[in-house]
Amino acid sequence: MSQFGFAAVEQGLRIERARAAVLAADTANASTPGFIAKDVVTSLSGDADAPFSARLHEISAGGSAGTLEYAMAATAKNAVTYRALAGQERAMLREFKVVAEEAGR
Amino acid sequence: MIDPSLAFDIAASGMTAQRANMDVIAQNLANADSATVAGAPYRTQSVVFEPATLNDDGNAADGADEFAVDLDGGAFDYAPQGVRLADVVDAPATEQYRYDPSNPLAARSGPRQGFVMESDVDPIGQMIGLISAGRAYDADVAALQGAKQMDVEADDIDRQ
Repeated sequence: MSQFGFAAVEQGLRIERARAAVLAADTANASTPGFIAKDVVTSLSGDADAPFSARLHEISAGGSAGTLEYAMAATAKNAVTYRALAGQERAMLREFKVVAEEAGR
Repeated sequence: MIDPSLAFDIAASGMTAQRANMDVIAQNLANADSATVAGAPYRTQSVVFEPATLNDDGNAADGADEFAVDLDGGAFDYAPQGVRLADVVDAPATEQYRYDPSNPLAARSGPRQGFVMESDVDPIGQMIGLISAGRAYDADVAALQGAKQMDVEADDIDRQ
């Protein structure tokens, strides 16, 4: 498994973790006057050590109820993505372990 | 690097705020039929929330910016904030009277003789507010559970 694979998955995990906090803030502040809800979007950076770049963008979901619905849906999707990334990381670590054991024989 | 427990603290602050909101709504509903409180009619109260930056212990802190998200190759300057109760405010004064001469609180003389001052609580509006607060509380719980699931997944990676 390439180092790039680990870098990509681990950065993805960090971004999804940060996104969870941003979405939790959107949920908690849905009824706060003047609060502007935000979300995290990622794109490829072309950097091997940090393959993705993350940036914030403001969301306009139509009031308190809309912000709550957006944040809940995004939180659910974020959790699924995080789980998939964690599964990928585990699979890569297992593969890494097998290769290391083979090399040791 | 973002504090892994930040989502927990933010969601918890939201739950605390919505709990306070429900307490105020319950107080309004309980006083919907109160004629007077200390000589004046009960006035509907409502909560005002404000964003709150959180300390390590999850308590609100003023001006702290220690949770700015800093990701490798993808830093963005933003500190996700919790929420806190800024104030509980009275609704604008409106005088509502009900003719009830047998009520011991009814005016005994003057142009309002036999009338009692009523509270301005709108029970239907308060019930809608209660449902909204419950929904917001549920959303905070969902955010908390999402963060918990992330911790479980991360812990599972550690065991590999």
